[in-house]
Amino acid sequence: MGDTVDGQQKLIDVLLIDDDPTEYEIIQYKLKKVDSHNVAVDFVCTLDAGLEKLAERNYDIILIDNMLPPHNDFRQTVPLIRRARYIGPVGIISSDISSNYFQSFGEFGADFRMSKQEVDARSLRYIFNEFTRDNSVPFDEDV
Amino acid sequence: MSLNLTDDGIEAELNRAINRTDFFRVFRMLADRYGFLSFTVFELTGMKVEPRLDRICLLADLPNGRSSLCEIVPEESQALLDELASLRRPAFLPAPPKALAPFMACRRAVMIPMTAQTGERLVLVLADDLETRPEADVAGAVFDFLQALQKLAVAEGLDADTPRFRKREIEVVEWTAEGKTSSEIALLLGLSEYTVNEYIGSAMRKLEALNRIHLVTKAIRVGIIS
Repeated sequence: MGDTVDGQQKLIDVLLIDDDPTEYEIIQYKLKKVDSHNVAVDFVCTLDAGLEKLAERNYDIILIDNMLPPHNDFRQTVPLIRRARYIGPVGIISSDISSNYFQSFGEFGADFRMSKQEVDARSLRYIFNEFTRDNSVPFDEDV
Repeated sequence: MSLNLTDDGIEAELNRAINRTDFFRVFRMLADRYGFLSFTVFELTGMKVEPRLDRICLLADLPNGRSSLCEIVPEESQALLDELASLRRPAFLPAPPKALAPFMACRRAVMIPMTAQTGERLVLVLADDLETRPEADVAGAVFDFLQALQKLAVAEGLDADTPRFRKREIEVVEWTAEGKTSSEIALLLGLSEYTVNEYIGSAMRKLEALNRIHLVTKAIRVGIIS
């Protein structure tokens, strides 16, 4: 099971930013099959609404659709999320991630990319495991 | 060389893969293609610094990710480390390694080692539940997974005797030398704290540093930063 605090599964807060509300329903459905983590998803349809959410509270992970009108793609949206001082993981989800510009996702502050077809319980489990684990590096203590 | 099968887009994904999540996606595609239940990749390089299974695990398709590996008792961890270190060719095991058995939920396992140009090694452990596998299928799986492991080794900087440092790694080490924390560096560079820590971790592995101070000292000594 996922990381626990006093025997309770730690709640993972996810912010999903997608202009298609159907994606929220699909993600919620897929999350029901993720039995390794306790996950809560907030959903907004625009980047502006997402930035407002970020001003209110913190999230463990942000999943953002690549195309979010009026912005062109993640190269415009993810830097705005970073400018809002969010330093958690950001993953880009898109129907098609094969375009060349996706190769530069790291330069624009994103942590990973995944096609919408790949997002299922197993992928979500990996994402939650990987991006909510403590990968901090020691300063000067023995390792 | 190209992958055994190229019509399902896996080769294109492998060629595009940049970070571990990309490689997770590729290994998963390959595992699905050949009917393996799950996979784990270990980097034996890291044993020089930290002989802990969770620390040497690069990719974990396990119920609780790398955290699962912390639950393994020391004797079983050491037995698995010894088994991984002694592996010289693909091995088809009648049962999963004892240490991983609780997490793999399978009847058998396949272990595929890959030695990088530097002599550093990666080992892939696959969970297998099929009764039988055609020989051609086995050969194809080993061939394809080896290529994926080779690409992963390159991405992890294990392909050259003198480790290459990515621009971002150097930037992160420079800010570390200025005394900045990971979260401060993340804000400065517009990255996540997770990714900053990954850059620091990969730079530490390349320089075999034990902590950040050791990393900065070694980075200055070898001229990566001034």
